[in-house]
Amino acid sequence: MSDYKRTTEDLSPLETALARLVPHAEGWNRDQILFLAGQASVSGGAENARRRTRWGWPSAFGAMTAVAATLLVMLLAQQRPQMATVENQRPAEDVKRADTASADVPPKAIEVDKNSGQKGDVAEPAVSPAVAWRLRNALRAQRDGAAYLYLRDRVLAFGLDEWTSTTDVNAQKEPASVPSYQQLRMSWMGS
Amino acid sequence: MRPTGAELLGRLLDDHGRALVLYARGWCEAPEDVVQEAFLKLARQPDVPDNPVAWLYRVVRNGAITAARAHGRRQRHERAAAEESAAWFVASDETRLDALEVTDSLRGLPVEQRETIVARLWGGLSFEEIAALGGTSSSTAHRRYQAGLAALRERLGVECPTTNARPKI
Repeated sequence: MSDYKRTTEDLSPLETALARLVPHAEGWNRDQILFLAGQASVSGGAENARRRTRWGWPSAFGAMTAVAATLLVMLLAQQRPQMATVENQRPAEDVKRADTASADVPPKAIEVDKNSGQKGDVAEPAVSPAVAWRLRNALRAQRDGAAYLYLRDRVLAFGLDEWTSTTDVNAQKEPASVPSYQQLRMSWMGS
Repeated sequence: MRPTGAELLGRLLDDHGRALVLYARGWCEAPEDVVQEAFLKLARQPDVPDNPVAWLYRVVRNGAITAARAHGRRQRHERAAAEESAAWFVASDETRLDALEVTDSLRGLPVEQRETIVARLWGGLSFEEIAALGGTSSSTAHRRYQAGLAALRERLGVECPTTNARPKI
C-alpha cells in the first residue's frame, strides 16, 4: 500500500466501504505516462539550461545600450562653441573702392544666424569687422607674393591674437617681405 | 528522469493516479489528460516538491478547472448527459456498495463537498492539505467532509454508525 494513503482503521463503515472502491480510469496508461515523463524531464532540463543562457545576450545588449546612451547624453551635454557668421555689408561705391584696394570705409558687421537666416547686429565680435576688412584688403594687395601665403598660414595656425603678439619676435627670423601687424596697421591708417 | 526520479514517479502513479483521475473528474470531462499533464509537469520540475502528493492535487485541480472553462458549459452538459450512466469506480466484490450508485451519489454532491471527500478518502490528504487546495480553513474542509458524508449516507441508504467515529485530522 502507499506511504501516502492513510489507514482505514479510524474510518466509519461507510468511509471504509467508499475507500475500497477503486476509481475507474479508462484512458489511463501508466507506461505511456512514464515514457512521456522521461521525455519531459530531459526536455525540461534542457529548457532550464536554455533559459539560463537565454539571458546572456539580452543582458549584454542591454548593458551596451545603456553605455551608448550614457555616452550620447554626455556628448550632447558638452558645451558647443558658438559659431557666428559675419557678413560685411558695404555700399556700392565702397565695393568699387575695395576692388582697387583703396577703400577706407569700414564695413558694418551683421551677424547672420545660420539656423533662421535672420540678421542682426553683432554685439561683441571676436575681431572688429573693420580691422578684419582692412586686413583682408591689405592681404589681398600682397597676395601675389609669398608674404601673403606665410601670413595666411600664421593667422590660420595661431589666430590673430597670437600673430599680433609674436609678430615683432618673428620679424627677426622671417623674411623681410612679411609685413608685421604694425606695418599693416599703419598702412590701413594711411589709406 | 534525473530531477524527479523514475521510482518516485512510478510510485506516485501507482498510488495516486486513479485517485487523481477521480478528483479531476469532478470538474472536467477528460480527467486522464489533466492528470497526465500534471505528472509531466512534475517530471519537468528541477526539484521535487516538498509534498509531491499535495502538489499533484493542486496542479490537477487547477488544470481540471482550466479545462472545464475551455470546454464551455454547453459542451460539458452534453457530455455529462452522454456519460450519465458511466461509473466512476470499478465494480468490486470487496464492498457492498454499488459503483454506479456511488457514482450518482457523488455526482449529485456540491463540488466543494465532492472534492473534499475524494481528496480525503481516495487521495489520503489531511484536512490541512485539503484546505490549502481550496483556499479555506481546515475546519471548513472538515465541515464539508462531514456534510458530504451525511449526504452520501442518506442517498446510499447506509445507517448512521452508532459510534461517532471522527476521522483524524
